[in-house]
Amino acid sequence: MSNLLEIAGLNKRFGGLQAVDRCELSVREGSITGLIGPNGAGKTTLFSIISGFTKPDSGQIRFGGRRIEGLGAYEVARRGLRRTFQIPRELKEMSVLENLMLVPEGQFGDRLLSVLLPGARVRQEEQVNEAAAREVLETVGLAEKADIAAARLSGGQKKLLELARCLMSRPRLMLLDEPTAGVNPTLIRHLMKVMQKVHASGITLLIIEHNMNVIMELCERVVVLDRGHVIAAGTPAEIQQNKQVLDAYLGGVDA
Amino acid sequence: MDELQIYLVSALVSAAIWTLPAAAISLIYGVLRYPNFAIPEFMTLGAYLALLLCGFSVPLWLSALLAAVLTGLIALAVDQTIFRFVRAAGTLPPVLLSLGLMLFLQNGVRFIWGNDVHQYPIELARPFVFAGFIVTPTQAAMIGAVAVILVFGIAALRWTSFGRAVRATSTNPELAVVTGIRPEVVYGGIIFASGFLAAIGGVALATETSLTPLLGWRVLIPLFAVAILGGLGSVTGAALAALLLATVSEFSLLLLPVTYKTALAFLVLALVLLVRPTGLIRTGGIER
Amino acid sequence: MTAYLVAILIFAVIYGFVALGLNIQWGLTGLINLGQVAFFAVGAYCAALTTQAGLPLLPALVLAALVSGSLGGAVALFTPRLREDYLAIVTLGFSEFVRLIFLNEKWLAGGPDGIAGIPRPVTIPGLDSETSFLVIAAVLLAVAFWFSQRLAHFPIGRTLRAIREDETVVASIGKPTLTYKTLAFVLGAALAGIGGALFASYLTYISPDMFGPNISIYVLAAVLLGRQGSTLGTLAGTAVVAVLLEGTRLLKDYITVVDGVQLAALRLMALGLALMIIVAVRYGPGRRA
Repeated sequence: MSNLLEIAGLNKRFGGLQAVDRCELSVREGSITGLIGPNGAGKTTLFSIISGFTKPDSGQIRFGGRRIEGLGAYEVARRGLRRTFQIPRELKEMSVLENLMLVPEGQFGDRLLSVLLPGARVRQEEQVNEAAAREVLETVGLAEKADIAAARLSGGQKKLLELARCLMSRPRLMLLDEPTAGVNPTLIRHLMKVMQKVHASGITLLIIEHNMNVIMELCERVVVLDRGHVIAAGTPAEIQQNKQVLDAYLGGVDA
Repeated sequence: MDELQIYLVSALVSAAIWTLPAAAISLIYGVLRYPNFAIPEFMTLGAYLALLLCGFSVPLWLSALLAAVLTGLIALAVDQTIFRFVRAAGTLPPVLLSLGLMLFLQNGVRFIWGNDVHQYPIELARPFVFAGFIVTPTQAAMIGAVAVILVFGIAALRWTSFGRAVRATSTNPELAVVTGIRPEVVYGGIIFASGFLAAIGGVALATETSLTPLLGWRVLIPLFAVAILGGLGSVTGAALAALLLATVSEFSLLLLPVTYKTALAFLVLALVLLVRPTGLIRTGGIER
Repeated sequence: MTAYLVAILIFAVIYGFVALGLNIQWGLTGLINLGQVAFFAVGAYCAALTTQAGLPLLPALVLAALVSGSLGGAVALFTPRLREDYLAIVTLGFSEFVRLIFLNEKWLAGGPDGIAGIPRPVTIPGLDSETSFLVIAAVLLAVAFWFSQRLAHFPIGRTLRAIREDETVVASIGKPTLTYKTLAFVLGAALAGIGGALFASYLTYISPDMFGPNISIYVLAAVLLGRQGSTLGTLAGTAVVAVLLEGTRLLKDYITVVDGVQLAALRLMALGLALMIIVAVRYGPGRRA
């Protein structure tokens, strides 16, 4: 299978810190790839660069064979590469349903012209989008919460909403930033099932994760980042045996 | 070439007028993190309070000092009764409060003193002339007083324990609290100082022009241009930026009509924010 | 007395346009604009100059909306990266900048003397000039209200509210936030421009000193009073502000201890105080906006 995402020679420096250092990484189409590394290894920065929120200093990012490193965040998203945020960024004042109905692209009702024309077309479009949003909520298990304000969701439910918002657009590639961090074990199981369902529906996943059980169970391939540089890549079993990875972790975090 | 000297003196006078109120804006921004649009109105209030005291035959320098202390106390009172309640609510609420206060103070002055133009009772005196520089005694005294207050202010920020508390609070409020600094004391001190500095600037401006209820409002744009150019939070930066902007706007008179001086300040302000949205010299935090 | 009431209502309607505009920018999209008077002034001058040249009122209003709207777009495009506090400074400064241009460019705008003899070109048969002006302005405001209301409740309004809440999220779902922010600024400025055009046409005389920061503050208070984002609330807030400002002129005949200047000053002091109280209550301890 071909590579959906290919990163070559990527660099990013913040002041005195080389956050991303000659990073080389690829994600196969249709895979679930894990991205691990000690705290401060530059994982979130890398996500931020891939998704167009941060400009790299140098290097290339190819998505579906085309360069995307110069594009703005919304343009990257439009090409079918979407991300979630580590700390959920639900739109608090809106209902859970509205959070999702916001997502579909090319809504006629999103154009100024729609305000001046009869409302029938927008109403019809909204019905279609609402049905789609409810279906996504069903998939992630938030269907009962559709009409409450997003601010009232629990921490774990907010994680699900992040995932749902990403899923709503049916992207080709989803970047999930610690989808199970701070979530209770029952919900972790649930989240893993959801991710597998999403994957089974044909979406490629790249996941930052600290929970090794999640990585071992979900990912067919794991990439290890340390100080902005990829130090190892392989199957979960291979990574577990890798001495360099062990060193990076022991040097990076206190047990 | 006498014109050069005339421009330089005007620039120095403008810079002296702008420095202290711009420093006040800068200090509040650095510590409390909001642009305070009422500072120009505290200038107006201070200038009129000094006028009131002059009416009791108090000499102008003493009137200015007393008016500045009074203005500082009024600023502190307003802060403690109103602004204090929105401390934790972000940038916008205090900005809106400062706009309401601006309207209130400007019209409070108008209510008491009316729209008439007033002047301080300053006797005409022979100006000092040397090497083509012409400076009136009032201007010399004003520039001298501003310089002294500026040096005192910078020294206080640098070497007193209050100054250290201010700098600590502006760099890292949480850490400052941990080290035993009480933020409300710092805030109160900064607000009092801002009212004081604004009032001195108001008196300085009124000695050069005249007292009207719009005295302070007219310099709002130059003040913000100076504060931003100097890097919000830096007193020394404000002083240098005041000199720079004053010089540029004086020499712009060679090309532009005099009424565009303020407009030019806006262009400088806009340009700085466009090129460096975080300010020219540095971001946040109090520096000397 | 009736004439007086008509005058208050006309001012309320005019401020209504400006406040509805600010509500789109600030209330809906979260872009603070402390210089709404700039677009109001540009609309006023635009209508003054074109109606004097013989253009009928309605085309003049459209033109005012276009010119003010374009200026709003320019401001938005120049300030996309500015944070809230800088946007506040820039918009306030910009409004004074615009006023200074009208003050200084005699050839364009008559300088400090302003422009007199602006035609008020419409009359409805059977009504006097003031009342017919009120009717026409009110009908136009109803249209603006309808537009604002639909904008707020259509998907596009949802997108604008999302930008107010978290711009990053909106970008992450593939929407061009700069385009939407610019659009909101353009619409808000255009509505203010229409208000300004009506203002010029109603008063038949304008000068730069009418366009100080006060009008920006009036509409901020109105939008705040009506709860940011609510179209109906904005109009209700505007009505309250207009009554407070213009209605208290009535007191002039009954209060003799203060003179005209003092009464005017008292009114504005009251408004300033009211604004502070609303903010303190709205954002004070234990509440969120």
